[in-house]
Formats: sequence, C-alpha cells, structure tokens
Amino acid sequence: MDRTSEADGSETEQGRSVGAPGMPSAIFYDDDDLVPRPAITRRPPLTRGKRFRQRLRLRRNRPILSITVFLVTWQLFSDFYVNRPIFLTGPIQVVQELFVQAQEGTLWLDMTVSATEFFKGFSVGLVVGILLGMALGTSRRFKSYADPIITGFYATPLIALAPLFILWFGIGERKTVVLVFLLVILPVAINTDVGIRATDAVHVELARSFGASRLQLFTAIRFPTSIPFMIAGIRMGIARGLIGVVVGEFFGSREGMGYRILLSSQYFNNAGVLAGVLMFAVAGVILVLIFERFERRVAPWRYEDD
Amino acid sequence: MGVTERDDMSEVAPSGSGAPRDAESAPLLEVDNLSVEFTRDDFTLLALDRVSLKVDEGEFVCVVGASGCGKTTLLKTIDGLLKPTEGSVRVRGRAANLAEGDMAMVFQHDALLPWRTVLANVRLGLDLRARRSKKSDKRAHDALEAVKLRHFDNHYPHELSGGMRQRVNLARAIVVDPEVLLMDEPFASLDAQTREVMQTELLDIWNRARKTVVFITHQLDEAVLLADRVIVMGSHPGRIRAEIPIDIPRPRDLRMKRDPKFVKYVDLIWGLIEEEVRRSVLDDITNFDHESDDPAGDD
Repeated sequence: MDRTSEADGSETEQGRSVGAPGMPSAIFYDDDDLVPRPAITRRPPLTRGKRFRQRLRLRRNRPILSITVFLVTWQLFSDFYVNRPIFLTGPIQVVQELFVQAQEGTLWLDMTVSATEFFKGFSVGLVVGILLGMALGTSRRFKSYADPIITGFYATPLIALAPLFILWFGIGERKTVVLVFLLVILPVAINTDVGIRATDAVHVELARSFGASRLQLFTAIRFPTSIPFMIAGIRMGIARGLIGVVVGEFFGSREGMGYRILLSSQYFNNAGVLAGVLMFAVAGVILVLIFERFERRVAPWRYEDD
Repeated sequence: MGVTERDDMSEVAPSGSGAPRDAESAPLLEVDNLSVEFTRDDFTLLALDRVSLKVDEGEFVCVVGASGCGKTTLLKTIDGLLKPTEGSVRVRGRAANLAEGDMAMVFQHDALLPWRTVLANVRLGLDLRARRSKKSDKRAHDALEAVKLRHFDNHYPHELSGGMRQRVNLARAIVVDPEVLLMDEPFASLDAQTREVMQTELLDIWNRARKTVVFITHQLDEAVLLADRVIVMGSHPGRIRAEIPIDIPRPRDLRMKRDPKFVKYVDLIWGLIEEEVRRSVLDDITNFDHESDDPAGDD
C-alpha cells in the first residue's frame, strides 16, 4: 500500500510509479533486466518413429485397427478354441466360401436380388415416411388421430408378420419389398415429426416478424430444423430395412442373400451362413458411409471440426 | 433536465439534438391507446394498458422499466407479432402492416438460424419478402460491412462470438431498410466490455443512417447514452409513466457516461423505477410462476 501512495514518479523496488501527487497512480512492472520470452513456441519436428506412431493413432486409421483385431481374434477363436467348423468357421473360410459362391454364380445373383428388394422398399418407405412425418409435425389434429396407431406399429415387431406376407403377397420379391417398406417408414416418420416439433419458437417469431407466410414458416424454419432428426431416422431405417430383407427372404423365397443363409444353415454349411451375414454387414457399413457423405452435404453446419 | 408526466402528451417535444419536429405532419410512428390482454384459463392479464407513444422520424427512443412491465409486449405489438386488444399502431399515418416491412426487429437472443451462413442469415428478410435477387447478396454483404463484420459471409453462426452474432442480428434487421428499427435488449447477453463497444458502434451506424429506433433495455446508462428520449414504463398493468428527453449533445461517446449530467439522468430514471424493480425482484423470489415479459408463447 505504501508504494501506491508514492505518486511522485519515483523508482520503487518493483516498478516505476507515475502520476501527479494526490491522484490515483499505477505501478508499472517493466523490468528491463528480464529476458523476454515468446508467447508461442513451435513444437520441434517429430522423429520418424514418433511420427509413425502418431499416424497410427489418427482417427481414420482406428476402424482399420479395430476390424483387424476383431478378424484375427475371430480366426484364432474358431481355429483353436472352438475347432469345429460346423459350429464356427473363421473369416478366412468365410471368404473362401464367398469365392466359391462367386464362381458358381449365385453370389452376384443373390446380391442383386436382395439389393433390388432393399432399394425398392427403402426408397418408397423413405418418401412416404418423410411425408407422413411432415403431416404429423405440422397438424396437431392429424397427430392426435394417428399417433396411437403409429406408436403401436412402431413398438410391434413387424417382422413377426412375415409368414402372413406370403399369404398376402405371394412367393417372391413383393412381400420382402413390403416388409422393408413397413420397417423403414416408421422410424423416418417419427423422427421427422420430432424434428419439426423441435423448432425454436424464437425462430418462428423471427420469420413472422419478416412477414413469413405459413408455407414459408415451414420451408424456411421448420423443415431445416428437422433435417438432423430426419437423418437420424433414415440411419435407423437403413438398419431396419436390411433386417427386413433377411427375414423377408427366409420365408418363401428361391433367391437372395437371406435365402442363401437359410439354405446354408440347412446344409450345416457354417461358412455359408456367415458369408451371407458378412455380406449384409458390409452392405450396412457401405450404406451408412454413403449416407454420411450425403449428410455432410445437406447439413454442413453440423460438421465444422473435421 | 426534466420528467414529462404522461398526462400532457401534447406538450411533449423531442429535445436536444433529436430530429427536428414538424408540428403539422404526422409522426413517423404513432402508437395510439394500445392495450394488450393475455387470456388464461381462469384469468385475464392486462399486459399493456392504453399506451400511447409518438416517435418522430430519425428519433432514437429507449424504453426502460422493471422486469414484467410489458416492454417486450409493447415492442412485439408494434412489430405486429402480437395483436392488440384495442388501439392501433400507425406508420406515417397509415396502419402498420407486418407484410409491408415497416418494421424490423433485432431480437434479444440473436436468434440466428444455425443452418444458414452469416450472409444467408442476413439475407433472411429479403428472401422471405420475395425480394430475392442478385442484389440480395450484395445488400446483405453491405449490411455486414456496416456492422464491421467482414470476411465472415460463409461462416456458420456457431463459429462466431457473442458480439459477432449480435452484429449479424443487427445487420439482418437493417438490410431490409425498415421505417422503424425495433431492438429488444440486443446487448443484454453480452459481457460488459463488448456491450460498451457495441453501444458506440450502434451510435455510429445510427449517426450515419438516422433510422427511427425503439430500443428496449435494462441498462439505464445504455438508455441515456443512446436515446433522444427515454420512456419509463410502470407495471401491472404496463403503462407509460414518464418520458425524459435526453439533452446531451451528439455525437456521444462512452466518456460521457462519467459526465455529471449523464449521471444525473441515470439517477433520475433509477428513482422512477427503483420501487418497481425491487418489487419485481421480490416477485421473482416469492413467485416461481412469475409471468415473463412474453406470456404469449404463441404460435
């Protein structure tokens, strides 16, 4: 305290005090003896070994690492612990089986059949689901009529209806397409509805203050708000649609990956079953990857960091 | 320096360096006998009670008052977002119309749309009013220049700081070139230093454009610094209690806040609202179901 009151420009132990007597003054800490230090110091370049290890830890390399570990564990587990191909075969045998199927020509045929069924059911389910969700999200009246039915169907395992679908739609592609359609439509509709309802009241007020019409409120505010939710619904729709393909082909089909799995299991061909499952897993991953690409284009504001 | 009690409206004149008043012509903005009621299940809340207010072209009016006194309700009713139960809002003598673009609102919490870039956010009013043209982008860009936000056209709102977001908020309102600029506590969410910077920049922009502004604030020093006239509102029901012409020369700057005359204005206004502010603070404590400024929450 003593030092601050000394407002006569005198030197003190710690600093230099400036100011007219009787006025507030400041003590400056400009020590000339101090060697200045930079505020930012660059990190030295990494050694080769360190750089390699760092690249290994990169985010995009992590999936490769985890998949490798998974496959190796699977192979070792089946070869040395289970050791009976009827119960479990390893990934190497599964890939061999795929080569066999490819040579016989069934692989390509099955995949086209399954993919066609999936895309037919999925695309129609997507469009109808989004439209249904929009109707739910914008009309309170429609929602109160439709909500119990939709929630009921969503909670029901619809695949349990698959045996009946043979009766209704006959043997062949159509019943699988319908099953996929039914499985896709609900998560898409429900999420779209939730998204539209998530609209910020302040945003609505903002648009109205610029004289927005009801239609404009929807196109400029509610619809964009719902996009991230809709995307989450579509993701769920992809997974559920793939289940629909498998189960649909289990009943009354003569082709498709689901039929191939069923047939292999009847012949105790473990590698055949797993080959089919693997193809579905790969299809699921590829679809989600493609979809993530698409997601970044329609909702770029959610991906700033990478 | 004085308070004009609101019983003698006719004698009220904007003062000092405000816009010159032509006694014959209609004021730019005329709020006439405006009442707003909110009906709940078992009661009706009278939020605004016969509020009348005239604002001249190029005048800067600040509205202050305790929380819940109906400031925001008044602003939203002027804007057309709320329908008055009685009374009218006129611009240049004709009924104000939301679709005409007479007003533009600067919202309290910047209310930027996260899915639009900065430029597209500013362009919103032009897009909605179907005036989208090649010029829209240019006009939006110019508005961003006016609020000193360059090089951020293609950024998304979440990449901006609070002060920058408020600049976008302001640009979005001025780009539509409204007759009246309505500002609802635009700087309330900013830190004290950023707020003072924004105050001076708003003064700068206003000095260049001389828009008619109705500005709501809780900061009394902000009101005195910005306004030609400060309107003091009372609560329950919301009424205009007094108005205070601010006779401080323009251009103004932050140093004037230390001026004895400035401080006297702030003290005068504080004296007028102190009791109600204290009561509203107590209300907040004792009544959790407290009516906010905007009990409508409509749509």
